Amino acid sequence: MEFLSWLENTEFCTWLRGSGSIWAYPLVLTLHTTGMGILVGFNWALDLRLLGVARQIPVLAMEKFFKVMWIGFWVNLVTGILLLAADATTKMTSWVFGVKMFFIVLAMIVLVKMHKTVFVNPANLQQRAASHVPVVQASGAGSQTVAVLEPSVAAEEQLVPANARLLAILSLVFWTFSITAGRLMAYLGPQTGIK
Amino acid sequence: MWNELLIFSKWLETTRLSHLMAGGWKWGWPTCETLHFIGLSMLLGCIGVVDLRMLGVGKSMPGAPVHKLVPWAIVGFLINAITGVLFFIGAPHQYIKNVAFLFKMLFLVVAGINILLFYATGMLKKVEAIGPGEDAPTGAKVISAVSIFSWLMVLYWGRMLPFVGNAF
Repeated sequence: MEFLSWLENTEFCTWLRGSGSIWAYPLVLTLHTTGMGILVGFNWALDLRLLGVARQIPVLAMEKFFKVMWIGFWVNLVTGILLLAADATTKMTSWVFGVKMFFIVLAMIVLVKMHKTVFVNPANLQQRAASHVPVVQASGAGSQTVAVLEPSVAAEEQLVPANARLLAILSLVFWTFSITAGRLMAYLGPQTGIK
Repeated sequence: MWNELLIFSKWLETTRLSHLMAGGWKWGWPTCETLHFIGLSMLLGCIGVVDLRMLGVGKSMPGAPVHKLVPWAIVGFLINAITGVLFFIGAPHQYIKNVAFLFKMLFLVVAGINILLFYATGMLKKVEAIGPGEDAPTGAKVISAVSIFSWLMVLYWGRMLPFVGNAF
Protein backbone atom coordinates (compact mmCIF):
# COMPACT_ATOMS: atom_id res chain seq x y z
CA MET A 1 0.00 0.00 0.00
CA GLU A 2 2.87 2.34 0.80
CA PHE A 3 4.39 1.53 -2.56
CA LEU A 4 1.10 2.19 -4.33
CA SER A 5 0.67 5.54 -2.66
CA TRP A 6 4.29 6.46 -3.45
CA LEU A 7 3.69 5.37 -7.05
CA GLU A 8 0.61 7.46 -7.62
CA ASN A 9 2.26 10.48 -6.03
CA THR A 10 5.38 10.39 -8.16
CA GLU A 11 5.90 13.50 -10.23
CA PHE A 12 5.06 11.63 -13.43
CA CYS A 13 1.81 10.12 -12.13
CA THR A 14 0.73 13.43 -10.64
CA TRP A 15 1.30 15.05 -14.02
CA LEU A 16 -0.45 12.23 -15.86
CA ARG A 17 -3.50 12.46 -13.62
CA GLY A 18 -3.80 16.12 -12.88
CA SER A 19 -2.04 18.26 -15.48
CA GLY A 20 -5.24 18.85 -17.41
CA SER A 21 -3.28 18.55 -20.66
CA ILE A 22 -5.10 16.55 -23.33
CA TRP A 23 -1.73 14.94 -24.07
CA ALA A 24 -1.59 13.40 -20.60
CA TYR A 25 -4.44 11.32 -19.16
CA PRO A 26 -6.90 11.82 -22.04
CA LEU A 27 -4.39 10.62 -24.66
CA VAL A 28 -3.40 7.55 -22.66
CA LEU A 29 -7.08 6.75 -22.07
CA THR A 30 -7.88 7.15 -25.77
CA LEU A 31 -5.00 4.86 -26.72
CA HIS A 32 -6.31 2.34 -24.20
CA THR A 33 -9.76 2.43 -25.82
CA THR A 34 -8.23 2.18 -29.31
CA GLY A 35 -6.10 -0.79 -28.26
CA MET A 36 -9.21 -2.43 -26.83
CA GLY A 37 -11.13 -1.90 -30.05
CA ILE A 38 -8.26 -3.38 -32.07
CA LEU A 39 -7.52 -6.40 -29.85
CA VAL A 40 -11.13 -7.28 -29.02
CA GLY A 41 -12.54 -6.25 -32.39
CA PHE A 42 -10.17 -8.28 -34.56
CA ASN A 43 -10.46 -11.19 -32.12
CA TRP A 44 -14.26 -11.02 -32.46
CA ALA A 45 -14.01 -10.95 -36.25
CA LEU A 46 -11.92 -14.13 -36.05
CA ASP A 47 -14.38 -15.65 -33.56
CA LEU A 48 -17.25 -14.94 -35.93
CA ARG A 49 -15.38 -16.59 -38.80
CA LEU A 50 -14.68 -19.67 -36.66
CA LEU A 51 -18.38 -19.79 -35.76
CA GLY A 52 -19.31 -19.88 -39.43
CA VAL A 53 -19.78 -16.23 -40.45
CA ALA A 54 -18.25 -15.43 -43.85
CA ARG A 55 -17.36 -19.10 -44.30
CA GLN A 56 -15.70 -18.47 -47.65
CA ILE A 57 -12.87 -16.54 -45.98
CA PRO A 58 -9.90 -18.95 -45.99
CA VAL A 59 -9.51 -19.24 -42.26
CA LEU A 60 -5.73 -19.67 -42.33
CA ALA A 61 -5.36 -16.30 -44.08
CA MET A 62 -6.69 -14.69 -40.92
CA GLU A 63 -3.51 -15.57 -39.05
CA LYS A 64 -2.13 -12.25 -40.33
CA PHE A 65 -4.50 -10.48 -37.96
CA PHE A 66 -2.81 -11.96 -34.91
CA LYS A 67 -0.07 -9.37 -35.44
CA VAL A 68 -2.71 -6.66 -35.38
CA MET A 69 -4.23 -8.12 -32.21
CA TRP A 70 -0.84 -8.25 -30.51
CA ILE A 71 -0.25 -4.59 -31.35
CA GLY A 72 -3.56 -3.84 -29.61
CA PHE A 73 -2.48 -5.99 -26.67
CA TRP A 74 0.88 -4.25 -26.16
CA VAL A 75 -0.62 -0.79 -26.54
CA ASN A 76 -3.10 -1.70 -23.84
CA LEU A 77 -0.57 -3.31 -21.54
CA VAL A 78 1.57 -0.16 -21.60
CA THR A 79 -1.30 2.33 -21.38
CA GLY A 80 -3.02 0.11 -18.81
CA ILE A 81 0.04 0.16 -16.56
CA LEU A 82 0.15 3.96 -16.85
CA LEU A 83 -3.55 4.32 -16.02
CA LEU A 84 -3.12 1.91 -13.11
CA ALA A 85 -0.07 3.74 -11.76
CA ALA A 86 -1.90 7.07 -11.87
CA ASP A 87 -4.68 5.69 -9.68
CA ALA A 88 -2.84 2.85 -7.95
CA THR A 89 -4.27 2.83 -4.41
CA THR A 90 -7.85 2.85 -5.69
CA LYS A 91 -7.52 0.46 -8.63
CA MET A 92 -5.43 -2.10 -6.75
CA THR A 93 -8.07 -2.33 -4.03
CA SER A 94 -11.01 -2.42 -6.44
CA TRP A 95 -12.69 -5.81 -6.82
CA VAL A 96 -14.13 -4.65 -10.16
CA PHE A 97 -10.59 -4.12 -11.44
CA GLY A 98 -9.79 -7.65 -10.25
CA VAL A 99 -12.73 -9.03 -12.20
CA LYS A 100 -11.60 -7.11 -15.30
CA MET A 101 -8.06 -8.51 -15.05
CA PHE A 102 -9.37 -12.03 -14.43
CA PHE A 103 -11.39 -12.03 -17.65
CA ILE A 104 -8.61 -10.39 -19.68
CA VAL A 105 -6.22 -13.15 -18.61
CA LEU A 106 -8.82 -15.78 -19.54
CA ALA A 107 -9.51 -14.11 -22.91
CA MET A 108 -5.77 -13.94 -23.70
CA ILE A 109 -5.30 -17.62 -22.76
CA VAL A 110 -8.16 -18.43 -25.14
CA LEU A 111 -6.54 -16.30 -27.87
CA VAL A 112 -3.20 -18.12 -27.58
CA LYS A 113 -4.97 -21.48 -27.44
CA MET A 114 -7.01 -20.51 -30.50
CA HIS A 115 -3.81 -19.74 -32.39
CA LYS A 116 -2.41 -23.17 -31.47
CA THR A 117 -5.61 -25.04 -32.26
CA VAL A 118 -6.36 -23.46 -35.61
CA PHE A 119 -3.11 -22.14 -37.01
CA VAL A 120 -0.26 -24.20 -35.61
CA ASN A 121 -2.21 -27.44 -35.85
CA PRO A 122 0.03 -29.84 -37.87
CA ALA A 123 -2.80 -31.01 -40.14
CA ASN A 124 -3.61 -27.40 -40.95
CA LEU A 125 0.01 -26.54 -41.70
CA GLN A 126 0.06 -29.32 -44.25
CA GLN A 127 -3.16 -28.08 -45.76
CA ARG A 128 -1.76 -24.59 -45.90
CA ALA A 129 1.38 -25.73 -47.65
CA ALA A 130 -0.79 -27.64 -50.12
CA SER A 131 -3.27 -24.85 -50.78
CA HIS A 132 -0.89 -21.94 -50.96
CA VAL A 133 1.28 -22.90 -53.87
CA PRO A 134 -1.58 -23.61 -56.29
CA VAL A 135 -3.35 -20.38 -55.39
CA VAL A 136 -0.32 -18.37 -56.42
CA GLN A 137 -0.06 -20.29 -59.67
CA ALA A 138 -3.76 -19.88 -60.24
CA SER A 139 -3.63 -16.13 -60.75
CA GLY A 140 -1.99 -16.68 -64.11
CA ALA A 141 -3.88 -19.81 -65.02
CA GLY A 142 -7.32 -20.25 -66.59
CA SER A 143 -10.44 -19.89 -64.47
CA GLN A 144 -11.10 -23.63 -64.52
CA THR A 145 -7.78 -24.35 -62.85
CA VAL A 146 -8.63 -21.78 -60.21
CA ALA A 147 -11.92 -23.50 -59.49
CA VAL A 148 -10.16 -26.83 -58.96
CA LEU A 149 -7.33 -25.47 -56.89
CA GLU A 150 -9.21 -23.09 -54.63
CA PRO A 151 -10.06 -24.85 -51.39
CA SER A 152 -13.80 -25.47 -51.17
CA VAL A 153 -15.91 -24.19 -48.30
CA ALA A 154 -16.25 -27.76 -47.02
CA ALA A 155 -12.48 -28.23 -47.03
CA GLU A 156 -12.14 -24.89 -45.29
CA GLU A 157 -14.55 -25.97 -42.60
CA GLN A 158 -12.43 -29.03 -41.88
CA LEU A 159 -9.64 -26.63 -40.96
CA VAL A 160 -11.71 -25.45 -38.03
CA PRO A 161 -11.53 -28.10 -35.32
CA ALA A 162 -14.67 -28.49 -33.19
CA ASN A 163 -13.00 -27.12 -30.08
CA ALA A 164 -12.06 -23.95 -32.00
CA ARG A 165 -15.77 -23.11 -32.01
CA LEU A 166 -15.90 -23.51 -28.24
CA LEU A 167 -12.85 -21.25 -27.95
CA ALA A 168 -14.57 -18.67 -30.17
CA ILE A 169 -17.63 -18.63 -27.91
CA LEU A 170 -15.44 -18.33 -24.79
CA SER A 171 -13.51 -15.49 -26.44
CA LEU A 172 -16.73 -13.57 -27.21
CA VAL A 173 -17.95 -14.07 -23.62
CA PHE A 174 -14.67 -13.31 -21.80
CA TRP A 175 -14.05 -10.10 -23.76
CA THR A 176 -17.65 -8.99 -23.16
CA PHE A 177 -17.15 -9.54 -19.42
CA SER A 178 -13.83 -7.71 -19.31
CA ILE A 179 -15.19 -4.71 -21.23
CA THR A 180 -18.21 -4.65 -18.91
CA ALA A 181 -16.06 -4.80 -15.77
CA GLY A 182 -13.73 -2.17 -17.20
CA ARG A 183 -16.58 0.23 -17.82
CA LEU A 184 -18.22 -0.44 -14.47
CA MET A 185 -15.01 0.44 -12.60
CA ALA A 186 -16.36 4.00 -12.81
CA TYR A 187 -19.54 2.99 -10.98
CA LEU A 188 -18.79 0.07 -8.65
CA GLY A 189 -16.15 -0.40 -5.97
CA PRO A 190 -13.86 2.36 -4.67
CA GLN A 191 -13.80 5.61 -6.67
CA THR A 192 -11.45 8.54 -7.04
CA GLY A 193 -13.53 10.33 -9.61
CA ILE A 194 -10.95 9.83 -12.35
CA LYS A 195 -12.85 9.11 -15.55
CA MET B 1 -30.98 27.23 -35.83
CA TRP B 2 -29.04 27.44 -32.57
CA ASN B 3 -32.19 28.61 -30.75
CA GLU B 4 -34.19 25.71 -32.16
CA LEU B 5 -31.51 23.32 -30.97
CA LEU B 6 -31.65 24.82 -27.49
CA ILE B 7 -35.44 24.57 -27.40
CA PHE B 8 -35.28 21.00 -28.67
CA SER B 9 -32.69 20.10 -26.01
CA LYS B 10 -34.83 21.67 -23.29
CA TRP B 11 -37.81 19.68 -24.49
CA LEU B 12 -35.74 16.46 -24.65
CA GLU B 13 -34.81 16.92 -21.02
CA THR B 14 -38.46 16.96 -20.01
CA THR B 15 -39.07 13.50 -21.49
CA ARG B 16 -39.34 10.39 -19.34
CA LEU B 17 -36.57 8.67 -21.29
CA SER B 18 -34.21 11.55 -20.57
CA HIS B 19 -34.96 11.29 -16.85
CA LEU B 20 -34.29 7.56 -16.90
CA MET B 21 -30.96 8.04 -18.68
CA ALA B 22 -29.88 10.96 -16.50
CA GLY B 23 -30.10 8.96 -13.29
CA GLY B 24 -33.78 8.04 -12.94
CA TRP B 25 -32.70 4.51 -13.67
CA LYS B 26 -29.37 4.16 -11.90
CA TRP B 27 -27.96 1.63 -14.38
CA GLY B 28 -29.21 3.32 -17.56
CA TRP B 29 -26.07 5.31 -18.25
CA PRO B 30 -23.52 2.63 -17.22
CA THR B 31 -25.35 -0.03 -19.25
CA CYS B 32 -25.36 2.14 -22.36
CA GLU B 33 -21.68 2.98 -21.89
CA THR B 34 -20.81 -0.70 -21.68
CA LEU B 35 -22.85 -1.48 -24.79
CA HIS B 36 -21.23 1.51 -26.55
CA PHE B 37 -17.77 0.00 -25.93
CA ILE B 38 -18.90 -3.44 -27.08
CA GLY B 39 -20.37 -1.94 -30.24
CA LEU B 40 -17.20 0.07 -30.80
CA SER B 41 -15.08 -3.09 -30.73
CA MET B 42 -17.43 -4.96 -33.04
CA LEU B 43 -17.47 -2.09 -35.54
CA LEU B 44 -13.74 -1.41 -35.44
CA GLY B 45 -12.74 -5.09 -35.69
CA CYS B 46 -15.10 -6.15 -38.46
CA ILE B 47 -14.59 -3.06 -40.62
CA GLY B 48 -10.87 -3.26 -39.76
CA VAL B 49 -10.51 -6.72 -41.29
CA VAL B 50 -12.21 -5.51 -44.48
CA ASP B 51 -10.14 -2.32 -44.68
CA LEU B 52 -6.81 -3.97 -43.90
CA ARG B 53 -7.48 -6.65 -46.55
CA MET B 54 -7.97 -3.86 -49.10
CA LEU B 55 -4.70 -2.31 -47.93
CA GLY B 56 -2.86 -5.62 -48.33
CA VAL B 57 -2.98 -7.37 -44.93
CA GLY B 58 -4.18 -10.99 -45.24
CA LYS B 59 -4.12 -10.79 -49.01
CA SER B 60 -4.80 -14.49 -49.49
CA MET B 61 -8.41 -13.69 -48.59
CA PRO B 62 -10.58 -13.09 -51.68
CA GLY B 63 -12.63 -9.88 -51.69
CA ALA B 64 -16.20 -11.20 -51.76
CA PRO B 65 -16.28 -13.28 -48.55
CA VAL B 66 -14.40 -10.64 -46.58
CA HIS B 67 -17.28 -8.33 -47.34
CA LYS B 68 -19.61 -10.72 -45.46
CA LEU B 69 -18.19 -9.22 -42.25
CA VAL B 70 -19.74 -5.84 -43.07
CA PRO B 71 -23.20 -6.72 -41.63
CA TRP B 72 -21.47 -7.40 -38.30
CA ALA B 73 -19.79 -4.02 -38.43
CA ILE B 74 -23.28 -2.60 -39.01
CA VAL B 75 -24.53 -4.47 -35.93
CA GLY B 76 -21.77 -2.74 -33.94
CA PHE B 77 -22.68 0.59 -35.50
CA LEU B 78 -26.39 0.18 -34.69
CA ILE B 79 -25.63 -0.68 -31.05
CA ASN B 80 -23.60 2.52 -30.88
CA ALA B 81 -26.10 4.65 -32.76
CA ILE B 82 -28.90 3.60 -30.38
CA THR B 83 -26.85 4.00 -27.18
CA GLY B 84 -25.37 7.23 -28.55
CA VAL B 85 -28.83 8.70 -29.15
CA LEU B 86 -29.80 7.64 -25.62
CA PHE B 87 -26.79 9.54 -24.19
CA PHE B 88 -27.87 12.59 -26.15
CA ILE B 89 -31.46 12.30 -24.92
CA GLY B 90 -30.18 11.91 -21.37
CA ALA B 91 -27.99 15.01 -21.33
CA PRO B 92 -28.38 17.03 -24.55
CA HIS B 93 -26.78 20.17 -23.14
CA GLN B 94 -23.44 18.53 -22.48
CA TYR B 95 -23.19 17.65 -26.16
CA ILE B 96 -24.57 20.56 -28.14
CA LYS B 97 -22.02 22.98 -26.68
CA ASN B 98 -19.15 20.50 -26.85
CA VAL B 99 -16.48 20.98 -29.53
CA ALA B 100 -15.44 17.34 -29.21
CA PHE B 101 -19.02 16.27 -30.00
CA LEU B 102 -19.00 18.47 -33.10
CA PHE B 103 -15.79 16.82 -34.32
CA LYS B 104 -17.12 13.37 -33.51
CA MET B 105 -20.24 14.03 -35.61
CA LEU B 106 -18.10 15.54 -38.36
CA PHE B 107 -15.97 12.39 -38.67
CA LEU B 108 -19.10 10.27 -38.43
CA VAL B 109 -20.37 12.14 -41.50
CA VAL B 110 -17.00 11.65 -43.24
CA ALA B 111 -17.18 7.91 -42.51
CA GLY B 112 -20.75 7.84 -43.79
CA ILE B 113 -19.99 9.69 -47.03
CA ASN B 114 -17.00 7.41 -47.52
CA ILE B 115 -19.26 4.34 -47.31
CA LEU B 116 -21.76 5.93 -49.70
CA LEU B 117 -18.91 6.57 -52.15
CA PHE B 118 -17.87 2.93 -51.88
CA TYR B 119 -21.28 1.77 -53.06
CA ALA B 120 -22.09 4.68 -55.38
CA THR B 121 -18.86 4.35 -57.39
CA GLY B 122 -19.52 0.65 -58.00
CA MET B 123 -16.49 -0.21 -55.89
CA LEU B 124 -18.34 -3.13 -54.27
CA LYS B 125 -18.44 -5.03 -57.57
CA LYS B 126 -14.73 -4.43 -58.17
CA VAL B 127 -13.85 -5.46 -54.62
CA GLU B 128 -15.95 -8.63 -54.80
CA ALA B 129 -14.04 -9.61 -57.92
CA ILE B 130 -10.69 -9.55 -56.13
CA GLY B 131 -9.20 -13.03 -56.02
CA PRO B 132 -6.90 -14.50 -53.39
CA GLY B 133 -3.53 -12.75 -53.42
CA GLU B 134 -4.71 -9.95 -55.71
CA ASP B 135 -4.25 -6.25 -55.00
CA ALA B 136 -7.32 -4.12 -54.38
CA PRO B 137 -7.96 -1.25 -56.84
CA THR B 138 -6.43 2.07 -55.76
CA GLY B 139 -9.88 3.58 -55.22
CA ALA B 140 -10.75 0.83 -52.72
CA LYS B 141 -7.45 1.41 -50.93
CA VAL B 142 -8.16 5.11 -50.56
CA ILE B 143 -11.68 4.43 -49.27
CA SER B 144 -10.29 1.90 -46.77
CA ALA B 145 -7.62 4.29 -45.52
CA VAL B 146 -10.23 7.05 -45.09
CA SER B 147 -12.48 4.54 -43.32
CA ILE B 148 -9.83 3.54 -40.76
CA PHE B 149 -8.83 7.16 -40.18
CA SER B 150 -12.36 8.47 -39.78
CA TRP B 151 -13.49 5.70 -37.38
CA LEU B 152 -10.40 6.26 -35.25
CA MET B 153 -11.19 9.97 -35.21
CA VAL B 154 -14.79 9.23 -34.16
CA LEU B 155 -13.33 7.19 -31.29
CA TYR B 156 -10.77 9.88 -30.41
CA TRP B 157 -13.28 12.73 -30.25
CA GLY B 158 -15.75 10.55 -28.41
CA ARG B 159 -13.13 9.86 -25.79
CA MET B 160 -12.36 13.59 -25.61
CA LEU B 161 -15.97 14.51 -24.73
CA PRO B 162 -15.31 14.64 -20.96
CA PHE B 163 -11.96 16.39 -21.31
CA VAL B 164 -12.52 19.01 -23.99
CA GLY B 165 -16.10 19.80 -23.13
CA ASN B 166 -16.82 18.50 -19.63
CA ALA B 167 -19.30 15.81 -20.60
CA PHE B 168 -19.56 12.98 -18.11
